[in-house]
Amino acid sequence: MSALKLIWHSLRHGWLRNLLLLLSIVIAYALFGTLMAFERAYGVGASDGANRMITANKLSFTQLLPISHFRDVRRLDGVGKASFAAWFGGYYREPRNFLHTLAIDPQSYLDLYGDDIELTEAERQDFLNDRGSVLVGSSKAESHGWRVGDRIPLFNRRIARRDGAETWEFRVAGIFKGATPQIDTTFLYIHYEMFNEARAGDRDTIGWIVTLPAAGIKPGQMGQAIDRFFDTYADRTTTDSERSFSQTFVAQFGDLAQVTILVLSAAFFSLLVIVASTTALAIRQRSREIGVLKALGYSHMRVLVLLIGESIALVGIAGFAGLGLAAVLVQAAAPSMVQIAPGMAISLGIVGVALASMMVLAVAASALPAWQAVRQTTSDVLRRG
Amino acid sequence: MSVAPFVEVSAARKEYRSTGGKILVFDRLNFSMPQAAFIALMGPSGSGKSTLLHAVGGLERLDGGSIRVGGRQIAGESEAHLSRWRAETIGFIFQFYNLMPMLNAAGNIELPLLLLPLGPKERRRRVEAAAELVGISHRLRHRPREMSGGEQQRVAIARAIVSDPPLLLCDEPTGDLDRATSTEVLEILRTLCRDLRKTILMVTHDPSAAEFADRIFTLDKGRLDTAGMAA
Repeated sequence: MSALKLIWHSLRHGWLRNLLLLLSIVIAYALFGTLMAFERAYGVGASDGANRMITANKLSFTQLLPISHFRDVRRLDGVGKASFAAWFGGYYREPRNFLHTLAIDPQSYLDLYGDDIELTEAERQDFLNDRGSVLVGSSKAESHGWRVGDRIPLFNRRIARRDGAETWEFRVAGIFKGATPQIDTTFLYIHYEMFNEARAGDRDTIGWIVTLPAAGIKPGQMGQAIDRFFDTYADRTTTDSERSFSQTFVAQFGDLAQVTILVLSAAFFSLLVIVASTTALAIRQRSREIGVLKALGYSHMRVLVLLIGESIALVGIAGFAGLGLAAVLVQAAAPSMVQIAPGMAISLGIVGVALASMMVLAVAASALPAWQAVRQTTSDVLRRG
Repeated sequence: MSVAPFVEVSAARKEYRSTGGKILVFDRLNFSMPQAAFIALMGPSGSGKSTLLHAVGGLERLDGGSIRVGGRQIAGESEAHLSRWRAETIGFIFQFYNLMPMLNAAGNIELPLLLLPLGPKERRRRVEAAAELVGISHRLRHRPREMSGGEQQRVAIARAIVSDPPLLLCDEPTGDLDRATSTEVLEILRTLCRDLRKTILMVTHDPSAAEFADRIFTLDKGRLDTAGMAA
């Protein structure tokens, strides 16, 4: 029998108490892992990209801009690259199969986002050359079973066609993957030119403009120049980083990252109190066992290591079980969270933070009661009968 | 030529502090035990028998005087040194057995061996030998709650002797046992003393238990009478 086996036997001895404690820690770390995965994905986001800036209508990003704004922006000093996008949306077969479809200027858009997506050169050229084609994100293609070459009908009741039809049919020219797990692969890209010609209303309008500053120009400086330029126009603009822009629509729910951290802190503190009080009680109930170990020749340090080791083992087993549960939950939730927190996953970083917190929790909860227990006079403990 | 005592207590003083002031347990207490002696320590409740026993085992610190065991002065030793010394020198046997409820008999007997540099095979060999010596081999896989009081005390004795310490300190080892079982346990102790040359100091209230010892010491009102001889 080794010291580890002794710890194992001790954990099994108070099995009901330890099981309940274990369950509470499992739940806490499942919560911890899930929220951390969310917080990290939300914090990094799909749109962390480089120095890209987004220019939208100052009234609201749902308000359209005239396409002439894009031409003006492209000519402005300090602007290196520029492209634009317009929201198409639509759905496949049923309204619940809602799609994130953007009508883009293919050449300039792929030039700006080329590093974010993985696409074969053949697929890229095919998309550029065919105005009736669509580029599909891999996760969306997978969920609907689309393949390159398929013809897919998209429905859109919000944007009417000039010919009165509700169906927009596209040929899948390529399926792109994200260059990193954080890249959102649920999007579809169609040609703006074709879209603009086919739609009945809002012609020659776009949703937003994407820019990259020229060499030596700071993004913020460029953004201010753009907004200043349109200051006297009917459609004034606001320019912000792409990251801020992509989070604007979720900001209505409040600062999710802040809320996440608050929930985590509250859960962790509650857990610390529960584990500490249960551990203190358990150690107090075992003061006689501790006295016997000391009488047998176990030093204070050795008894401390055994007691704290038990705590570490319990918190470690439960903590990793909780993280495992979190991994399952995150994997299940990731597809539906892709807009808010793309690439949500239990990363090595999260495991590291969790491991450190487990150690802190286990030691903080057990060190003081264990120290108090070993400092008791052995003969007093043994005489209590 | 006189033989050096194995246990030597000199001018021992012990007092407890309470809210009502200091309580003197004993003062200037002297006694010695040769190796392989079996001594019963008797006296009324609260006379300080267990305190003296624990002091000899290094579990209780004296307020004055000295204790030598096997030629080693233990007063003033650090906790870590005392622990190591206790693991090698002392075997404790308690009234209520004090076995670990989560371990089976073999696990309990093995506990002191975990402190020594022994491999699993040697530890198993020693556990089986100690269990054989006290007649508990057939119960090695059982937990304490599955054993009678007598069997549990045999396990406790096996645990006390498994690391082959020269000194056994027994605190009311038969206090929780019926007469017949007490006799069996005391016979084991006497055998350990005579055959294996263990030095035994046994605290007891029971005069019939004390009769198994070679000599009887009586502690009362802080004074130790060492003149008593067993029948």
